[in-house]
Amino acid sequence: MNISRKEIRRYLGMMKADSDETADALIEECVALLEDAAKPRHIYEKFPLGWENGFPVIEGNVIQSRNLAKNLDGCTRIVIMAVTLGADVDRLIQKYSILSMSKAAVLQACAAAMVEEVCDEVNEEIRQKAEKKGYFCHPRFSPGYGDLLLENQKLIFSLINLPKAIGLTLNSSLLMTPFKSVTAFIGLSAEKKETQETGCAACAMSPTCEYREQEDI
Amino acid sequence: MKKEFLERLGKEWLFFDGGTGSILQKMGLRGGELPETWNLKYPDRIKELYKGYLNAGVDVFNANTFGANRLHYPDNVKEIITAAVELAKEARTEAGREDAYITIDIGPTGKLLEPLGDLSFEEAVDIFSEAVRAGAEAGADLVLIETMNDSYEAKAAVLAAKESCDLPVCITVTFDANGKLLTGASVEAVVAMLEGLRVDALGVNCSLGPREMVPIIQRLAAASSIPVIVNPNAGLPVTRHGMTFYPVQPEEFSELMAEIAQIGVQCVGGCCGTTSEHIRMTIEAVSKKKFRPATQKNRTVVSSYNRAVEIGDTCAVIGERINPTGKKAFKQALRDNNIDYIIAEGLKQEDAGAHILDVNVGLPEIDEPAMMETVVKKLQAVCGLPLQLDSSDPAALERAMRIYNGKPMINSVNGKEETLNSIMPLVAKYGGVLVGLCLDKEIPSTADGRIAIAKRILEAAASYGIPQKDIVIDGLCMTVSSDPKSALCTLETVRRCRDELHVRSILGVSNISFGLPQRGIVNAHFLSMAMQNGLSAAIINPNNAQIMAAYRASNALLAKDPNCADYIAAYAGTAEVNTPVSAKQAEAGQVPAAGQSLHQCIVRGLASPAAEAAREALKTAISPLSVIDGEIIPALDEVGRGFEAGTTFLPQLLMSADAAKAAFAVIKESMSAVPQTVKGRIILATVKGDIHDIGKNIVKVMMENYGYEVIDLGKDVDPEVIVDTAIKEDIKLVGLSALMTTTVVSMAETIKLLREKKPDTKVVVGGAVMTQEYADQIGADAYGKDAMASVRYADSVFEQN
Repeated sequence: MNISRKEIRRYLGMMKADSDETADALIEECVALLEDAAKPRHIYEKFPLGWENGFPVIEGNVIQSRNLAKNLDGCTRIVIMAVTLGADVDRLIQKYSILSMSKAAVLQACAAAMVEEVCDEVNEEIRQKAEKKGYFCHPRFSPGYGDLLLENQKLIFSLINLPKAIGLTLNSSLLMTPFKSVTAFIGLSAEKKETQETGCAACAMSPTCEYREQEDI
Repeated sequence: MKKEFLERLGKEWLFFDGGTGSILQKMGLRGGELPETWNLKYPDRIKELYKGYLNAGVDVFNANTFGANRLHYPDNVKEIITAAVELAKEARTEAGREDAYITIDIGPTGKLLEPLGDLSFEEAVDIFSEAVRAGAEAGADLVLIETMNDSYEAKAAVLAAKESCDLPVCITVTFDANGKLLTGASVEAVVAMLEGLRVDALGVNCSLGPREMVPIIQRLAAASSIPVIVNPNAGLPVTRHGMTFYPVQPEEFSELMAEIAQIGVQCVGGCCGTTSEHIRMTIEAVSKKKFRPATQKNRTVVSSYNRAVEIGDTCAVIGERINPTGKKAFKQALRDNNIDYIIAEGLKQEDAGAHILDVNVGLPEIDEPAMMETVVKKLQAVCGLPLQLDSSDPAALERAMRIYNGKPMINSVNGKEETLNSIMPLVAKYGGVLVGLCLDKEIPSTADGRIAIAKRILEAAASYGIPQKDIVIDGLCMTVSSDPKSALCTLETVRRCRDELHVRSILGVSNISFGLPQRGIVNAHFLSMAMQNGLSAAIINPNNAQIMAAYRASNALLAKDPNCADYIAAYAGTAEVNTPVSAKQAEAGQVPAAGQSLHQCIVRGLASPAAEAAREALKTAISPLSVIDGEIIPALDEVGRGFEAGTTFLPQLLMSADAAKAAFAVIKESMSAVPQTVKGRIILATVKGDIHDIGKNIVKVMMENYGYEVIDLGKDVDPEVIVDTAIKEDIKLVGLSALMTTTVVSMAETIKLLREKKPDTKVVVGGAVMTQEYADQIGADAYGKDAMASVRYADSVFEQN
């Protein structure tokens, strides 16, 4: 797996930083530690997608989110995907929170970049499978994006047995453990839509976020 | 009269049932519908499921209670379980199979236990206990715990079963294709823990098909001394037209199971996708095969949440540094509840090559049982090494043994009745490898005397049902400076443990040199001698290069290090030196200060050189304080200003912080007698509901470096706890972090409560979703956009006072 160094630097707020030997060495050391600890697992499942009053419906559950509805516009199927890097990554970051805060912070950034990378790979697999059947994938959309409440994690966890399948659990505050995990919806439509907002452009935090991708520079 | 389950287990083939969920789905169970609701809704269908297996000839079948716990059924868990067992009894009678055994079937909660998740260990025990009691009262014959993919949850379930009923307890866990549980435990680690907890049979179920399970079953059978259960899926699931299928058909399944039955397995059945036909054909095929009982493996094994360590022919290194004896800084850390200091001692030893960590936190003025529990919980959250729980207080040992995630070592008992009678029942209940010291009222001065005590300890263990493999004898190291023959006596005791008693041995090596100069020399040579006499485990300081050199060289010379691989890995390419570099330097891969000033080391973020440079600086400085004010603070400020100006970035800032922390540690040690000045005391906490604490931890390191004392309340902290602490400790500044929009609500609540109860305390907030506007909205005094901003705000608050 090739974890994007650019993404790591972005998470560390180093977009504008000159290359620095010690910082680069630290990043490489942390990537190696992470690759040793991470055991990425994933699962995805396809469901029929219905509509009710303009909101998407999965297995009889209406999802009250305008942003997701917009994302899924034109879709008739939906894939739910889940990815986790596993419990040992949590332990690794916790370990370095005690031994070396610089490593802990860099590991955190590396793990964030890695989980995105795994998501991209899984997403690509889904895209290829869908394409063979004549479907187009819409950009993946996760609980917590825009107006799609974290509450919807409960629905995802009831539709797929994630604790058993990949060891992913939901705590009482609706946060996932292990930490470095992602769940997402990917809509499938028969017709391609060109104007899909993705990444930072689709995010409600975009105006104030200092980690925003700096396309405008 | 029906034979008891335990009369048959391990003496003849016993057949378990197959899939439940997959069969109920065929009967119409919808996706997302809880299978146990059918016990009340469709009792006839559940009886039909049971009878399918009874007619196929199973000896053991599961009541439909797999997910029946209060998390899934908050209102009627008992009713659901009672119905499941009652239906099972009816089905058994109707099928004319009164000889069959009904299990109360226990599946995982679906929650991750603390510290990874938010379900506490005791709450998990409680949830399982409730289910077990209901099943036992309804008349189940045994407990079957299934599909566990976390060793800690498995332990909670076994303890619950053992404590809530007298029924036999069997357990099967779920490994991935690499032979690991989802939370990391290896096959051997799981076997060690479960045998220690004295389950009646253990095994594997679900996740894989019979073919994929073979390598795991081989490892299980090689490790286990108790009967092994194998319940695979009907192959790996495939999806066709949106439906899940298990591809292995009954005939193929039964053929594979007949092969598996010959790898040292005593019980077979199936899991997802297997039907009564799979099981019927399996029973037919396996019954023809010769039954072989489990064999005693006689291996001395301890385990952690992820690995097993054998105390065997190759000497194991047990790190001795988590121990306050003779260590001022460690004692102070215990008094200050500075757990991170203690954990760091453990982690350094892990990196230096220890296999097991001794944990001794006994100090007269602290609550040792509570401290022991805290340290063990925190250690096992971050460190994969098995632990040796070291205390003379049985209460401290029990607290730690209960919450330990694996099979620990226990240090120790001696020949005195009272220690044997207080500690051995704990080992019998929780499992563990117990260290037996060869002393009673006095320390025998001859090997004969020590061996006699060792025998007594082994006999006492046997009377508690603790096998000899779970005892390790300590032949006792007494300093050679007061008795010239003491080392000879110890070495003879070690040799005779191996040759006469055939029991494993252990020594606290460092005692041998007490009172002598250059103790490392004596310790290293003595360790080599003891290893030649068959020592199985050495309690030493793995951070000491000299003793680790003796350890690695001895292993190579005693043919315990194939191709000298470990030796070469440790020393190839290192310079031949008379005085070895300290382990810390070697480990960090950093050269000593080499002319760099402390200031430079901190600015460049070099931790080990900074510590070295601090040591040098102390030699010439007027006072320790002058090193802090003259070098460390200006260096930190330089980096901090760079960060604020956008020329230095977070990693560099934190590397400098780590370097400053290392330098501070050296200086603190030198002035532990002098009261240290503190700029102010600050509470830091990640608010209720939020578990992302990295930002808070970054701020903590920075605050401490800038001279603040931080009361770190951790993550997911109740508003009441924060406010109560602020009142009790009269805190002027509280720092709160929250990562999620959803948890900023808890932040607002905390601030509100603080305003009511302690209005003079200031609040600074930070976190990924936080903005100045947001901070104003929830009534915070300041927004710490990063760690430096929080430090500057703290400076402004405390300068005013």
